[in-house]
Amino acid sequence: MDETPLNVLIAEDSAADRLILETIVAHGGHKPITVADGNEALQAFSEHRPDIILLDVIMPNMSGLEAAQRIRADYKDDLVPIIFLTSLTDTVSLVSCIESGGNDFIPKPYNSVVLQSKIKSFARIREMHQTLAEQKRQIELHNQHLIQEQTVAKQVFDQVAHSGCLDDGYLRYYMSPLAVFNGDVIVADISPSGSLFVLLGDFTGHGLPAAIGSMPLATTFYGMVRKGFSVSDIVREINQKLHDILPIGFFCCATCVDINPQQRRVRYWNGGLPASLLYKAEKNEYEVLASKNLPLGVLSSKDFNAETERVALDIGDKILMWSDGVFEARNAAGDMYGESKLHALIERYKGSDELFPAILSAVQAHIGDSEKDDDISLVEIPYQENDYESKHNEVNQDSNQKLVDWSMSLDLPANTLSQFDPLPTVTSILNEVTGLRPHRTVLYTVIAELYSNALEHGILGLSSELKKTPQGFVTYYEERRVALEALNSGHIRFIFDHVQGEDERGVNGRLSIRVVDSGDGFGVKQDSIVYSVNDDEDLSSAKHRYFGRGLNLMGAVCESIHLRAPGNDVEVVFKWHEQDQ
Amino acid sequence: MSDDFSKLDLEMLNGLQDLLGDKFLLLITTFISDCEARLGRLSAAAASMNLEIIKNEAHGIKGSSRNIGANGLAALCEEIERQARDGDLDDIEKKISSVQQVFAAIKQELTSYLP
Repeated sequence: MDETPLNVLIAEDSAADRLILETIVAHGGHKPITVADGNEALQAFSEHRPDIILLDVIMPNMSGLEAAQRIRADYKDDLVPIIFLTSLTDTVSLVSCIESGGNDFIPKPYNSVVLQSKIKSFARIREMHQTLAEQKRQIELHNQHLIQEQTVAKQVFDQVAHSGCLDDGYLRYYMSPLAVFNGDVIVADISPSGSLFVLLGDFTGHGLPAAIGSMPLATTFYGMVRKGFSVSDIVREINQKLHDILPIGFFCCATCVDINPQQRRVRYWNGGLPASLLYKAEKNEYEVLASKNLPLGVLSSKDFNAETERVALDIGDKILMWSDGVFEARNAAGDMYGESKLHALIERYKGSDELFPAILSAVQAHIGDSEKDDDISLVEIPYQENDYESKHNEVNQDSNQKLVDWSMSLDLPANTLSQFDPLPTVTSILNEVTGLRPHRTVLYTVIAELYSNALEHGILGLSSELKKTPQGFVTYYEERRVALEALNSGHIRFIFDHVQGEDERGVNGRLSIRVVDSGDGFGVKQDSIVYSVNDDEDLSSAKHRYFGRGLNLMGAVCESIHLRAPGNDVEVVFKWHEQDQ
Repeated sequence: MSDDFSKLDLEMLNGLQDLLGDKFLLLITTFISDCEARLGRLSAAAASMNLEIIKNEAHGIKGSSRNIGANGLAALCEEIERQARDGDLDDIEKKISSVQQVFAAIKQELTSYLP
């Protein structure tokens, strides 16, 4: 059989023996390289890099044993088989041959057939070794790449996931390092209306496939929260994105909450995550925010239910969310921590600030040293009375390309009104004015109030009397939904006008927001300025009737409010100064 | 006695002839000159009682002899090698001279293979 010819180094001091060996090797189809002592063997080795060495033990200058040791020391990674040529037969000598790096012996007199077979056998071993060494090298290289990639991925992920208000002190959270690559994700940010949005997600599976979905989830979340979208809009969008990009069988269990101090309520959507708990301080009891939906990414947009639940909040209330990694954490014996122990802990530390650290340390103590299952994500959000404020406004303010003087008219006919929320679009335009940015929460509220008055009263003709009782509130929104769906005429027009100026104190500006609806108004006889900073008279009851709750706020923040007859056209003027932020 | 020790393994020699072909003659001359050189060093070492050299040269002649089928010569050398290693100097010079006699006989026989 034809095999690749090998370079065979022969080190033998007896010329006659060398001749015999050389001939046997050449007959086997290999290339003999002959030398007469250990020194020459080392030199020939580095010069020819033979595949196999036949080495006499006793030679002048340098013995075969020493030559073998040196070759093994200098070429650690190469497995070059060394076969000792020996007529030594005592055990000690044979052992020392192996100790010095030899792989086998061949006794004198040389048997041609035996020697050929040994060369063949060692060539095979060497080939296997080379394959193994190459594979080991590749595995090491891949492993290095993998670790490097994970490090980079983690950095990118942290950059994206922590770009919101996670670390601003509004909430407590814990996510174990392994959890990131097991597909857990926590994101939090403040909306223009001063709401705190938090989303805890848990992707199915482990490793990269599980982690990769976090990126579109986080970027979508942040992009939409900052523009003022609702929980419904956000989960619908994320669901569609994940549905489009994730393979079948991959999805994300998630809970998204929107905590709004002005309305003293939380809106939440839970799809597949363990029920979150809302601690009600007044009653000292928990309310369960259970999952009523399938996880994100399972259903197509058509079948997806983005409806949120609304629960009132009060001082001292807090929300506790966790992923199933918490109670599925296993100890070295493979036993899970279990939901019952978790619930016992939650009862025991009811309302206490100790609950969060208690859960963490209990679960971690359960896991012990077996870190294989350290996959814990835990979030606690205390309700606060004041608006949440983003502490990262400054980040984008350095951009030079900003709106200065501008005006805009936006017409929304019935078919748009029935399905489109214009507030995020409008807010994002206002955000392009550097001076308005610090006031975006206020502006959002003002515009939201003007818009809902125009839509709900002007166009849909709903009565705000209903909203006075909790039951009426529900009825009101049900009527609103039905009327909106059936809407086929009417329109609302936004007219914005912004002028920027400068005085000795710095840059200032004036924004006029006018909202006109196609409705019949409410019997206002003539145009009037219903509020101005220079006007300290009490506001009449008729004016209250129009503005409801919103007026006090508008009065507090706006320069003037102008109402035109018959009451379907309101203009508010907002002034800002860079020194008044 | 030297007759027995100088006996050659002819089967072995024939095998080598087959293996080496043209180079068989070179093997014979190489073996003879190699052994003569070793025997010279062996005698000199025997005169100065350098056991290390005695041991190594006896070992060398032993190996080559086995390869060429001169098993009696190899046996004699093995004995000398063992004695040198163990520091047993009994009759060692006598044994070396018998090695020289046996080699002379073998050389004569091998030379008959040469043209």
